[in-house]
Amino acid sequence: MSELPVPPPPAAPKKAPRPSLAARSFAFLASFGVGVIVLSFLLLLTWLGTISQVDTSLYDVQKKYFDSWFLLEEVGPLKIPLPGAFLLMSVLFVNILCGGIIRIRKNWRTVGVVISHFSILFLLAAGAVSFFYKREGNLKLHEGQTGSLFTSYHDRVVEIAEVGKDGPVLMIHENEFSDLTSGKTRSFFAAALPFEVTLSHYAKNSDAAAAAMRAPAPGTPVVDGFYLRPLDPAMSAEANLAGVIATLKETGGAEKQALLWEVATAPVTHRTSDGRVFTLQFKRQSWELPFTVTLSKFTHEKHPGTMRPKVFSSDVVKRDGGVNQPVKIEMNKPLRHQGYTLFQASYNDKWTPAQPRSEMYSVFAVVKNPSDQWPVWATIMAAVGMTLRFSMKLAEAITRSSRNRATSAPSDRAATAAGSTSPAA
Amino acid sequence: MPSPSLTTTGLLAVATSLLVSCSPPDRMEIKESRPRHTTEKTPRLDVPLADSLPSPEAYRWVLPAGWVEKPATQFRQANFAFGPAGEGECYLSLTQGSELENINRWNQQMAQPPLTEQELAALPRKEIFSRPAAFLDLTGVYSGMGAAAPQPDMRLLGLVRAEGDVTITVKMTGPATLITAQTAAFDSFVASLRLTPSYSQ
Repeated sequence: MSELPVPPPPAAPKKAPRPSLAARSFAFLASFGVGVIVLSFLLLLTWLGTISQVDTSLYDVQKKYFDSWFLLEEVGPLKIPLPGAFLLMSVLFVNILCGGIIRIRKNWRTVGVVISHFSILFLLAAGAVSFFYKREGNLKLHEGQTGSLFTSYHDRVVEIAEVGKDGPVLMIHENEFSDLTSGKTRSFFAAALPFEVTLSHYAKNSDAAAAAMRAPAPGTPVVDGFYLRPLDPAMSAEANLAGVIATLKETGGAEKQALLWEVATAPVTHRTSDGRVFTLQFKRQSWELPFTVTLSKFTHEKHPGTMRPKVFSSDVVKRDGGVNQPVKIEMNKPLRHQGYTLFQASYNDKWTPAQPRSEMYSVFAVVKNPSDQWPVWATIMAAVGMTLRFSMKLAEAITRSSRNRATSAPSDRAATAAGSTSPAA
Repeated sequence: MPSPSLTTTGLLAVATSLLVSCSPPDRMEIKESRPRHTTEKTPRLDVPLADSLPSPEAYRWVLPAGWVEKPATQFRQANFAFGPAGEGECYLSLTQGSELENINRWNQQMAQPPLTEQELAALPRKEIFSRPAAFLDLTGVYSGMGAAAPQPDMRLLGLVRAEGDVTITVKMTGPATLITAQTAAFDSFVASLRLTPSYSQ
């Protein structure tokens, strides 16, 4: 008796190979989950930033929540670490790039979506370019005055320059010492400097007060009869007047203390033991335009019986490469040249004993932003993409509807016919 | 296995905690520099600190002993009190009106007849901000602005100087005996007033 053949056991289902690390990383970065988390954090930051503006200046809120990689949010006694909007938008960029551009099915039906996704990437890139490369400041001119230097609204630096030399001016950015309150110090050195600069007692908003006029708090350094009196930060960040104490020390030499206040009208002079002369000044960072502007005439009118400005405009002469061009700058008519835009921003007609009325001047906001027009292009792109997408969806809906009508029409007719032959109830 | 969302959240939290705890070192090299501006002026060297520091109030003073600075108000750019109970006051004001109008307002407050232009011109002068100012010294019953009732045995020292659109005044009032004791302090305060370099933001 022969044995019946035993069928082989069924093969175990073949296990799918585990995706590579690169594939898993890509899937993770392209996932909706990452997108949702990032957008949730952005929503949270927007809410926190809005709430914070109750008692913090817009600029400070922007720096803390939106121009940052990370931040610490104080909730009662707790300090909760949060990702800053810059980090979140970087992740969002990668997320949309991976999910909305690379992974998305590409055919004529998704072309509108791809264009819309690309416009968002472009908008995020515009923000990044603006963050890193935008320069913004103001240029103040009296009538008849020519200028080309514009000064930042917010960025401050300690500048150290050697007198009588053409070498570069060394700069210590405010964000490198803005944490030096409560007795903290930090030293700065450079090969070109024969001394070290130790900074301390930073005050974001301060008054350089005379000790004889207002007594300083105990422990406050007094330099030549003056000290930095900390004030509450102004609600308008550009109104803050920052100050810091600098201690200069040569190797083996004596120390010299200097009070650096950003509105000082002359720098601190420091003479080294080998006869070199340096100046130190704490000031708003300044840049030079590649052309000059001369204010010929400033026109200023107020609404009758009020202090509200009605018209203010500046007739200027732009001089570039020996060519003079008269231009009128008004509220919504800026001067654009060589990538720079000069807006009519403000003017001064305040009187103080130290500033007679004849010193009225015009102030121009100067902006250089390589991505200035990118948001416009991104918006146009988004509009094109969305229009395509919605047009296609509309066309699909119309087609589907008419097809449904076409397929349902014979049965409707049959039903109608059947209804007409049945006996009446 | 944790979901991608949980992994992302965890990674972000850890990275954030690590990065926000970083602080700059205590000693740093200066790496940033800029070329000199073509329009850069030769700096003024060895300028005394006092001459280079503007004041938000545009003036600076030396506080006399025993005086207490009070918050400035819309009409009192520098405001002080003195005396055992702070019953004496002195303030610097930038106001409107002519010298004569201000002088006669003070005369009215001290129940005195108004002066004429000739009498104003004959008043003694003291310097304020290095400019001559009319000086008024009155003793009598004082009905100051907002005072509940006229106060007897009071004294008023005042300086007025019209300057462009603005009139600068320094006014000191209080019990006559107290003001007499503080006359030297008034003079030293007025003499110490200095204009500071102007600045604007």
